[in-house]
Amino acid sequence: MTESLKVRVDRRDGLAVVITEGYINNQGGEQIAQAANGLIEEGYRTLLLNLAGSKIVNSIGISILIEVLERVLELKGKLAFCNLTPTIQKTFHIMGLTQYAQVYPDEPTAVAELVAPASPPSGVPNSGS
Amino acid sequence: MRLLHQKELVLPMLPDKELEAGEEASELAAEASMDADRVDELRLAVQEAFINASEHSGASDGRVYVNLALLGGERPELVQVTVRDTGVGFPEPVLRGTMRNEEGRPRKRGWGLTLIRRLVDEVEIESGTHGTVVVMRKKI
Repeated sequence: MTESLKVRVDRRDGLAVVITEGYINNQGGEQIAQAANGLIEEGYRTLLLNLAGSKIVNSIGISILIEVLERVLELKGKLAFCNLTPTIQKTFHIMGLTQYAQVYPDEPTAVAELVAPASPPSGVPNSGS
Repeated sequence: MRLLHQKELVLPMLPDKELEAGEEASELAAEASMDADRVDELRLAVQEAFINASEHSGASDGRVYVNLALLGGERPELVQVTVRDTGVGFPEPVLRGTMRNEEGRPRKRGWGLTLIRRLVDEVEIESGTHGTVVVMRKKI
């Protein structure tokens, strides 16, 4: 039984949403990190990981998300999560991610909170540009 | 409490085989009417125990032995999952499950046993040169 992760990116004004589907293990974590690093290189500093399609994780996959979080924080950016199962949210809490990353119940709530308060960071392309 | 049902699995130490062990444990727990969120917690704990065995045991037979048991009286009361390997035992940092690494920085890897301890109600670990046995119990 093998499940590979699918990763899709939705670029918005001042925010990029990484949408995952499947198991977040070592390989899945690396795929997310690759997508996140690409977005950082493009200039995005606010990233939202929507895990609605990922109901199963393991600690190695989450460890890689910690590395992504560290990179985003070093750049004074923000990494947030939405649509976590209760077990994944508990796991994030145990592993310390929720100290540094916001968790939102769903994507619309997350986008409204993340985009509203501040002006868009410099260097981030507008949608449709 | 008596044994109501049990199942033995012998799985190869291959990528994603932890999913099979976790799925079998969650099916047993769900059939015994464990709350869905607690079933998920048990699944993750079993996956982590399996991954630890695969990654750290160095077992020459390349197998992980999983025993799934349902215990109770008239009704199921407890799911017990035992994950065993025949390797050389876990290294001390893995067993301690500390929150910081040797340099005192926040730990990125080696979270398995910490998670297991927080996700199930009882854990017993016996590790030595004969191998490692992790017994996890979660109430229904």
